[in-house]
Amino acid sequence: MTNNNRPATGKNHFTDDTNWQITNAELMESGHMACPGCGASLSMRHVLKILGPETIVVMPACCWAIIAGGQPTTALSVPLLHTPFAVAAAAASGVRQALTAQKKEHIQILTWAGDGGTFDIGLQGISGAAERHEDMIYICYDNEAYMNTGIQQSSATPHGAWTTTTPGGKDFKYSKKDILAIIKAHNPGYLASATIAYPDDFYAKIEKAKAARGFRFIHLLAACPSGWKIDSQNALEVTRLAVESGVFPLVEMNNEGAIEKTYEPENPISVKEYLATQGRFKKITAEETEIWQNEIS
Amino acid sequence: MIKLKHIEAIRNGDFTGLPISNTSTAVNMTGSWKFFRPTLKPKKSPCLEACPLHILIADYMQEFAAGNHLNALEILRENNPLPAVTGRVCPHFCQSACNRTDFDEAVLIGDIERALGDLGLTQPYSMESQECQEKAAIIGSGPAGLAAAVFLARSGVKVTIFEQSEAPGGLLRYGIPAYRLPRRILEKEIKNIVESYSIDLRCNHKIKSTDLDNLRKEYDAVIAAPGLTQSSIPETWPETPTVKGALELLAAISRDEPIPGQDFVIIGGGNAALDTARSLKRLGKTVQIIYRRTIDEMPAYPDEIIEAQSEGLLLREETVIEEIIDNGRDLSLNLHRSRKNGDRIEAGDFIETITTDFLIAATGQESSGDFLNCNPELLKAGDFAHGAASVAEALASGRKAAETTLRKFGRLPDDSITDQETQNLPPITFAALHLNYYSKKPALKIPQLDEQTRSDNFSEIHLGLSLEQLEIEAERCFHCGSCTTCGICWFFCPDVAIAINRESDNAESQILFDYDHCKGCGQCAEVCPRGVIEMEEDL
Repeated sequence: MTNNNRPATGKNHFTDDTNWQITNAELMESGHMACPGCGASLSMRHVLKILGPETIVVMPACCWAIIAGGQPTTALSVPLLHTPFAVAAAAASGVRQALTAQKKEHIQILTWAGDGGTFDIGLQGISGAAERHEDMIYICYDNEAYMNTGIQQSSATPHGAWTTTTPGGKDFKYSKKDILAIIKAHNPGYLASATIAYPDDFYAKIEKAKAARGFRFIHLLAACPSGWKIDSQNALEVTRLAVESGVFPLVEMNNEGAIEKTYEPENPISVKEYLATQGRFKKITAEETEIWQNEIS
Repeated sequence: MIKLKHIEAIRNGDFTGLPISNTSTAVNMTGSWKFFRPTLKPKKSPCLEACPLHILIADYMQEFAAGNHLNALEILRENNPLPAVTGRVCPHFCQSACNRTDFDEAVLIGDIERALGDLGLTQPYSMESQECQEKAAIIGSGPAGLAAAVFLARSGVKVTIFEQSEAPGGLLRYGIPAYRLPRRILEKEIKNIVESYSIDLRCNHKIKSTDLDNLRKEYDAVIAAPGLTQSSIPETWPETPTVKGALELLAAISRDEPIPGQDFVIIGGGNAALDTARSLKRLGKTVQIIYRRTIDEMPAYPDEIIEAQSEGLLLREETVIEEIIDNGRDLSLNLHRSRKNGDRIEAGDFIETITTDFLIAATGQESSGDFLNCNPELLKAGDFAHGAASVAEALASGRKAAETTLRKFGRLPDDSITDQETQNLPPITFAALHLNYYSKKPALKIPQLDEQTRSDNFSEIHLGLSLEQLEIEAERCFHCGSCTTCGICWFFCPDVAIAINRESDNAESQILFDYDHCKGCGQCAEVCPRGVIEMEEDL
């Protein structure tokens, strides 16, 4: 094709601002069981690219327990320990202690759990691990419901959202649990929220978490096309709009222990615009949208 | 329950009976889940579509931004034989069409073209095929004649150009003032063409009607591109030495002939009017332009009007001359306010009577070689063929004539133009681009000579920037419709099903989709900044 057969610019980046390097090495493989457009699988791919091969992943029951593949297959090229729902942080603490005993402190522990295993079922284990300042990175990929078991509401589900257990939308009396405030109260080694729709921010935060020590917690928003009732090709864009509308702010705990925003949208959009992109918010009323908008601003 | 014997077995690499996975999920052909598959569908950028020469702008910008200036020049020259000239005098339809206009500001394509053209002044043009037997004669060495010569000579045809003036260039030399197109640039570029392709350029050689038959016998093809070299003077104007045509005056200025008279009135609103006025002003004359419509309606290029105004040129809009009184030595003109009567413009209220040494008509051009007109089978090119137009259009017309000739020689397949493949691609609009990962960046500022410095000389106004500085500008190009292997699709693929092979020479294999594992989610198509990836039904 005449139009196209020229050598590339040779630059290993795709936006005009990106100057970080992305490794070509993949620690997550094709053929995993995630639905098309899954935000959690894309997030895992890049987290592992940053953490590198010297990582052990510990995960409870969650989407990823399925995504990783049934025995005898695995999507990860690093060791992965499956645990029961409530004990990911506790099991990860055990692995950490075992590695410490073997003087393998350099190996990273990545505890990778969904919102159910973090906001609801695993919370006591996280609290314990955080209290002991266990040396691990805990990443909660939040798709805002129990997607894997059939889209049941969790305490991470935003109010107004349809799930199979909240067919009329989650009651506005209940708001999404403030997980960052809970973890912050444990004085963690690092604390941030991120999403892969903002690659610069995402890479910077995972790199920081990798360099820090102690209990490090990252809250990732990961789009779920089937649970959010969106088309798979729009998963990334909807995640981006969550940030642009202020529904999911990108934040980080600074050195003084205060949570501050790492990204401020240049032209913020309204909550209404964000909600309109998803089928799960179809039944939300104008008043409820306004309440939500006021909660943000 | 894992027992001690199991641990012993694991140490020996035996996982039998244990809940341990050690096979890659890549054995799962998840590609069978998909209904749609991503494919590369290059498209035509709006700059290419707007360019009469169909220059592969998005492609040469890529090379230029990467610092491969000579490669960029080669791509540019594929379609444009005179980049140093067009970089200066083309109105740059490409820049007006640039998708970046809807984002922040258009990429300065013209300035990059100009810098590449200047680089090319010392780089010989490349040949495409070996010499052949055919010979072609071209009448006129203006942009159309030169373009025809280049595209013929590139295919090995032996070309002879007949130029009636003492030097080549046609309108480029005798119509465009040196402050817009310095003579040394024009001369170098033409010399480079003539030498690279061994063109037989015969100046001071006017073709008369009696020569035509001989030409046809001697040459296998004749292309007539004599241009429109005469200003048409309205019939109602008196025939007197104080009434002149703009083109004749511009040619005289170009030849450094002395220009008598002090006061000049120029009628017209096109580039010829402005060029004549600004040239005369530089010679210390008193000049005013009279135009019957508003300044906004002037057909001259907007930049030219702005520059002329900043130089203090007097532009009288919505004014018509109702009466011209020939006083012998000078002329008296009765000026009236113009008034619209339907489509016609009429004289309205009387304004004043002015006296001037010369009245200059810049209201249109005509051919001086009328005998060529009488020859219907003659292959025509340039302004002579299609009426007064831009340099880019003249070049395109010259190229078209060359291609018709090559087809006649059987050296080009029928009904094909050389860039047909690109031409047939669907165009891409701003809405089809995905620019979330781009930030706003204004265009570079191109330095100019200030009004004071340029008021009394013909030095080039636009100073240009270095190639290195302009690389930053080229990086602003979105490369609409052209894959740059930027890798954003690879980055955002949740299924690790895209591989990029930047080493590959073949565009089709630079982006590799792993259809065995791609689930067809479509995110790659949604993030591709240039709109190259499309989802098509997976059958």
